[in-house]
Amino acid sequence: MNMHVTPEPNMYRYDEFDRKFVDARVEQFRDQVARRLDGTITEDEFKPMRLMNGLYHQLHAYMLRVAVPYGTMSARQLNVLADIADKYDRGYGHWTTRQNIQYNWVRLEETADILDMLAGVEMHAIQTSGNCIRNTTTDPYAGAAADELADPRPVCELIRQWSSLHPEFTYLPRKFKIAVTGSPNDRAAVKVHDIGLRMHLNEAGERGWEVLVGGGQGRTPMVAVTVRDWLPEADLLPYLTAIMRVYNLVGRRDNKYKARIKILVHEMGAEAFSAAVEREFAEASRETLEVDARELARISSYFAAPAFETLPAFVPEIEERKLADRGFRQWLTANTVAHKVPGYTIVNASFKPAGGIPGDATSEQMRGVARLAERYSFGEVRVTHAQNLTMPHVRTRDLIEVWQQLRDQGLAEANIGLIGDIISCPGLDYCALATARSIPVAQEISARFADIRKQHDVGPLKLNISGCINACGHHHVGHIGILGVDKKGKEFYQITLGGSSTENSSIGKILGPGFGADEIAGAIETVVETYLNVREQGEEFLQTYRRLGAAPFKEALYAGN
Amino acid sequence: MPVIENNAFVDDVWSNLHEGDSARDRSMIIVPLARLEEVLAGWPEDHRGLGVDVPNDADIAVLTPHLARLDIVTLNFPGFADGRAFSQARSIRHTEHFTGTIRARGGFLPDQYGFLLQSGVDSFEVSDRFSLAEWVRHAGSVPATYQRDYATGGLATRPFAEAGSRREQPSFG
Repeated sequence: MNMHVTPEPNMYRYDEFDRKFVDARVEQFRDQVARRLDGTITEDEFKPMRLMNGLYHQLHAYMLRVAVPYGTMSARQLNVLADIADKYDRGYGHWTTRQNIQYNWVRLEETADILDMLAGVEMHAIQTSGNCIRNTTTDPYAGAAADELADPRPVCELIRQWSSLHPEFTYLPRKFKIAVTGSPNDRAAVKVHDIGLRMHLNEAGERGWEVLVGGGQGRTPMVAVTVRDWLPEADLLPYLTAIMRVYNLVGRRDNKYKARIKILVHEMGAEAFSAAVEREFAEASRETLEVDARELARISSYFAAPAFETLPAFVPEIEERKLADRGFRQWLTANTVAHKVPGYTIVNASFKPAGGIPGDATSEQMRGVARLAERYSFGEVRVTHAQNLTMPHVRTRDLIEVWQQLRDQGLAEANIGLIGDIISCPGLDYCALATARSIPVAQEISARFADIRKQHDVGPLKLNISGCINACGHHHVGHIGILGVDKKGKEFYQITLGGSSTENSSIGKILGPGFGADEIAGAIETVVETYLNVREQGEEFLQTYRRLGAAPFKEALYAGN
Repeated sequence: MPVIENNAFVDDVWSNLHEGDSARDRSMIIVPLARLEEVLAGWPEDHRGLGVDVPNDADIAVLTPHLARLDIVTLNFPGFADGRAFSQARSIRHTEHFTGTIRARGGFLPDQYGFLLQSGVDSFEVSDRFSLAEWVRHAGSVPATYQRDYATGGLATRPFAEAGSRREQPSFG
């Protein structure tokens, strides 16, 4: 066998300092587990400690959520995630809606060993749960998308470091999520995060950030408000610090369900909240500004563009295949995205097979994508919010090979952004909070729309399913949302329509009375059929809903009842 | 209750002024925030030995005009998960430049000892549930921090490569 050298993508790499930090955190966690097992600390005390390291206790077992910082990882890291799935889980991992991976069958005693394995490839589970600042998320196409202003990931990494084991902000009223986008077309859902950051360029070409605060889903969905139109990049960390301090000091702690920053912003009023932040910001420490800027420059140097070749944008054999092969054409339309460099294409691997469990990945599939990424995408992979993987930099002329190889692994379902690309939480099959199952509902709907031609005819449609009002399945921002609830011991499913998590964000509205577990898939078919009947030429589902409102859908679902 | 300062048990020289107690002719007392202005009104300008106990939902802005006359501020942890006192400590120490003692009280855990030190707390009222050694070892259980302006007690921060020479990294201990 030839010696195979794994290509290392241009992404952040640990130095001695980062390694020391993560190794020490692993040892600290190992010590915390040992003290829990010998009874030195109580379960109540241990719980927030394990959560801050991503370890949940679910219905049947512990679940470990591993951070994939801003969704970027190398093929080498993905291979280790596969090894962990084999060694410590049942051969599976599960991509999450915040660009992470979780393992649903881990053992408490083995967790620190898993963390050691992760640390070996510069990964960790720090702050993937708990009332602290979580993994910063971003556009899965960052650094590749044709429409972005600049790669947002250096700022994400700056925030990752700033927020890691922050001495002041690790015991917050509630969890805290930050999302960043470098593109005007928001694929990072910044308006439904605790803090959203949108990059802008001024006339001089300098970067600044629009700061949005108080968005979120859960029980009380809200769209974030802009508290700063333009924050110079150099002021980013002091400004974030000011927001966090106001929240930490005055965010509600009397009621878990009122403790997110969105409630504080809502109760104080956006203006008063913003004024409090500005007061804090005016007094903020400026002593680290210079090192922050140098640190950002240092981080940015890791994210240099890969060594792209000069290639023609037009590849005749791809165009020919497109005409000749409908399957390829459908895949190209749905699963690939324009790249900023001519001759390159962004490729999505769909983890949404017809009738399958959204976001579930076998260790073999992980290794398969890792192999493809090594060969075709500079060794780089992304996790998306929609629970799929992306290879960001594939040569357009390699697309036929990549498509065929993805198909061999069951990862080429041509449904990205279509009704089969369902986002779903684990629901009552795994989660201790859930009130209804969501996976079987996703599977049934996915099976009913298995016909890819039908999906393409229906067009762009985001269908999101949550198994309880905590909304981990993002039903509030699905074009069609499904919320599972428990009604007198029976599962019921409410339908919401009109949600969106883009730059034109909106919260879906409940359509009417819910449906039983055996009725919900049929009801979704009725909604889709209604749309097909009333849409105008070229109109997507969300546009039709925004034009006509809920009336035709209500009529179709409830008339005669 | 035992008090830890500089990683050692120390004698507690402070006593708390309870409700109804008079502050007259007393010294080394910690008064509730609600009584601070009243006590200060009768407190000679050049007199030291006064501290204040601050509830964790208090706006520390009310303390600002009085900090120069105080030697100790005590902050409260009703439970370890309630982290408001971290921000109160940081504001008092860093924004208000208070140079006296900041003492933590209540239900915080040894695992939080390092974060408390970094936030500006330098005195710890603790129960006898954990040994001194247990508290002290947690000061540096993660001996590195990304937050340069919070680094205390020899915690390592990232060295910058400067003109060919890397700055020596301080080691903890």
